[in-house]
Amino acid sequence: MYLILEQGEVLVTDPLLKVRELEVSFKTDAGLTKVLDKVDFDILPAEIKGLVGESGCGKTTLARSVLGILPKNSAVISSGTILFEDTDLLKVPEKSLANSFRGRTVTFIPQDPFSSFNPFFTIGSQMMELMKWKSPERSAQDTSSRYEASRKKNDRKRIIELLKQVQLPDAEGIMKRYPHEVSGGQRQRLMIAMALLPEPQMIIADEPTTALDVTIQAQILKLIRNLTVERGVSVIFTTHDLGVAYEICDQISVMLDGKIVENSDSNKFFTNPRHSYTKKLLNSLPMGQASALKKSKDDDGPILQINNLSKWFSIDNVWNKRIGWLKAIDDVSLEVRKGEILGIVGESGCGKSTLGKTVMGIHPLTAGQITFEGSEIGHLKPSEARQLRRRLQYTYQDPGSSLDPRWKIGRSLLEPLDIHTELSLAEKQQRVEEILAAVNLPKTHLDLYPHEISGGQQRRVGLARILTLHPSLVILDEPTSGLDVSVQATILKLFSDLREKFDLTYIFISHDLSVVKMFCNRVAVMYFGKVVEVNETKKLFEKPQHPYTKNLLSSIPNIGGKRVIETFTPMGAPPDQVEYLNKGNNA
Amino acid sequence: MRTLVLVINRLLWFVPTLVGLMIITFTISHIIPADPVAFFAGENATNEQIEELRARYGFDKPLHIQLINYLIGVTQGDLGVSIYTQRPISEDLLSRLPATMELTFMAVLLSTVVGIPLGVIAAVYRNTMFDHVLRVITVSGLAIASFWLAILFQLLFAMELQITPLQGRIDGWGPEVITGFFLIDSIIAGDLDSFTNAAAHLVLPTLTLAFPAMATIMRFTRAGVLDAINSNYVLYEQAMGFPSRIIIWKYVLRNALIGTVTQIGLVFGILIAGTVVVEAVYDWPGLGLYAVEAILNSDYNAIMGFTLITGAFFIIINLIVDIIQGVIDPRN
Repeated sequence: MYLILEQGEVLVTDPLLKVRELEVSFKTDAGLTKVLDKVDFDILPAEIKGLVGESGCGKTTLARSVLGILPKNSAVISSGTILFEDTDLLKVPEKSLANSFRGRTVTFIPQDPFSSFNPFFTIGSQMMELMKWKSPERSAQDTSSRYEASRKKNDRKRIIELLKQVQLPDAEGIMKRYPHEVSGGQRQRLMIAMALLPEPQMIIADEPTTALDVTIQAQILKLIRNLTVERGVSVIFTTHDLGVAYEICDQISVMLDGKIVENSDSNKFFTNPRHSYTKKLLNSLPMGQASALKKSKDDDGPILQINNLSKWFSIDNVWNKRIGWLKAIDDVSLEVRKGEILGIVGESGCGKSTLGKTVMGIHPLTAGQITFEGSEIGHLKPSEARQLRRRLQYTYQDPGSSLDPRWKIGRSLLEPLDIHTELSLAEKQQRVEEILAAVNLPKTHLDLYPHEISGGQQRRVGLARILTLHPSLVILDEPTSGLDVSVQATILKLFSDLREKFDLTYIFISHDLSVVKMFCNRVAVMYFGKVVEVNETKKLFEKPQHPYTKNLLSSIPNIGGKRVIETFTPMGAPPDQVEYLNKGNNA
Repeated sequence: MRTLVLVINRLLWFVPTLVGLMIITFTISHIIPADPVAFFAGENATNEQIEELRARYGFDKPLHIQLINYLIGVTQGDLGVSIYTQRPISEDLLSRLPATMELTFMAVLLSTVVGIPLGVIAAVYRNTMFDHVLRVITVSGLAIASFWLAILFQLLFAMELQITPLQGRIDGWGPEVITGFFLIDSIIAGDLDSFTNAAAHLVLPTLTLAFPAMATIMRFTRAGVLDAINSNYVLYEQAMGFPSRIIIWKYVLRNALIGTVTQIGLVFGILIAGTVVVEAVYDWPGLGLYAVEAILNSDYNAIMGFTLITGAFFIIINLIVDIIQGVIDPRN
């Protein structure tokens, strides 16, 4: 083992952490399920090591084994060693692990910073609690709960200093707030600060950017990389996102079914993958060429026309009196052409989902017109709108979750036909069987309950349920979010097959620009309630016009290209979506 | 600010709720086929005498007029006169209220102080022997009828072991009445004998009353703690090596208490209803015993007065619960 120093010296060094032949199983109803299978894993001092794999591959279990926080009742470590600086952590008693290892030698950055903060305590009090037990000033052997005033004072200074380093300017103010009172990006900065506060030798970061928007992700990755490299801290970075791994890691280990199948330097990894699974992963990435899907046949004109659409939500004071508006959608005009796939992209809170739901009539609109297949649908009464709804459908992120768990699949699929059509039972059944075949599910599934089929199959059934009514326009709201890349590729293929077969038009709402680039004919970019740019996918990605689009595109990890964390500069403060009414003016 | 709005909102509903409660109680108690006047007048009374009595108490008027008259009286602080004790209802209630309050508060205190820690421990050691034993105890706590439990307690502790008094609130006259709470009054008077005597009398009624309440509070705390233990912030705190006693008793408990506090408010209601039975068995001179006598005698004004005062108490307790919740949970 060696480490290359800045001056070009080569220093032979031992790994900080050596995992050898680790086997972990979980107790299930069916007996023991092996989750880690003879895993060997090393990390050098000051190294950032990516642990990459799809959900269920065991990367989180490996990370938790190292921390010693596997669920006590269900996890069984059957063999192996976890050596940290030559101490076998599996032989250290839990009490001393908790006291002097976890949160001190090794710290943790969680996936979801929101739920990882305790909602009932201020951020400052939670940081002080951490420092009370884990401050570098406290001896590792100390198990008392004393917290001397002088140490308290120094620890507070440390916190404020570190908050500045993670670019949270108003440190004192933030410490007084509760977790729900700061933004998602700020919360992850706080988590990074807390991981660094005890001055650890190693940080385990478990998918730390998965819940974040892409522009925030770029900043967070940069922060983690810079601050840990500066301090010489090792990082185990688990992720399912190869782009993220490319951005931040020196070394990459790929996991598949509880085994590590490839270890490699991150540059070689992307240019010269060795294992077949690694190649498959890289191939299923939605990269490179813009959408090659055929466009609408002829220009049949728009199927959906949105004119000056606004959806404002009322902001009320405690007396239920309106004091202002949140302009979730503000004066948006957009045209969806027959047969196309229109992508709507933007970061969380930009109004893209609200737009979809307003078109569906789930939210009543504030102003504007929505014309669908030649008729105005924005101002219809619910009863009048019902007929139109058949042709206009909407799916949630996971269409499978809209299935009633107590109903057989067949009944769920028949229900929309019962409500919306006058077909005979035989005709309905025939149609359901056709659709089921179209989403590649066997007829036998009609007699199963949702819990008896896999999550992926549930998604297919959810889609089939929408298609039974033969819609012409389907709004897909984040249909691939949370999916592994290989599953994502399959589901996108299904969307495009169904589109051919049923002559569908899609509105594809997504925060994932690489998917949109691959899948959509045209793309609309939303930014704080407004559509700032609409263009053909290729043109939009090659020559973005609006500064926000440019900024957004520059934040996507670009495997093989220049690293985004080195090039990306965040934009200034966003425009304000909230408008307060003047006092005494009840407009 | 939110809390203030909540309080004002609840206070606005206070009067309508009580009026509704009055109407329901009034209707139910008058529908029961009983004639308190005939009962009060005695067997030898003539029809004229009965009619005269009926007119004196206003029972000759149509029901809705009686109700309106009663409500008008209430707004002037006049709860009427008990036909049984011949004293103003408000005097009767006030003299008996402290006895019930003392019993109820002790029961809530006991069930909370015991129930919450047991709930936490049951959750931490879930599915162990300890948890199973507690489950059996709580299920029986909820299933056993209080009068039966009260009798069992009397048999065991008062008759067999003779370590507690059998019934009553105190031997002798008790301390000088200041608050009406004997424990407090005896401390004020510096009368240690009265204090221990009153405390000894409190033991069995409090245990009887607290048992089902403790079971409820324990189950809710256990569920709340289990919920919180599986949350991401507990995983994070474990990953960062916080001492487990801090994780459980400071962070998890705070979360679990939200459900429990709501439950404590509701438990007050169960306890007040419970006093009716428990006071009857232990001959405890409180509102519950008063209510039993009132119902047996069809003493309308007394029934109404009891309902009014317990209803108001219940509403106030739940208002306090809501305020406490606002303090515990900063997110609303």
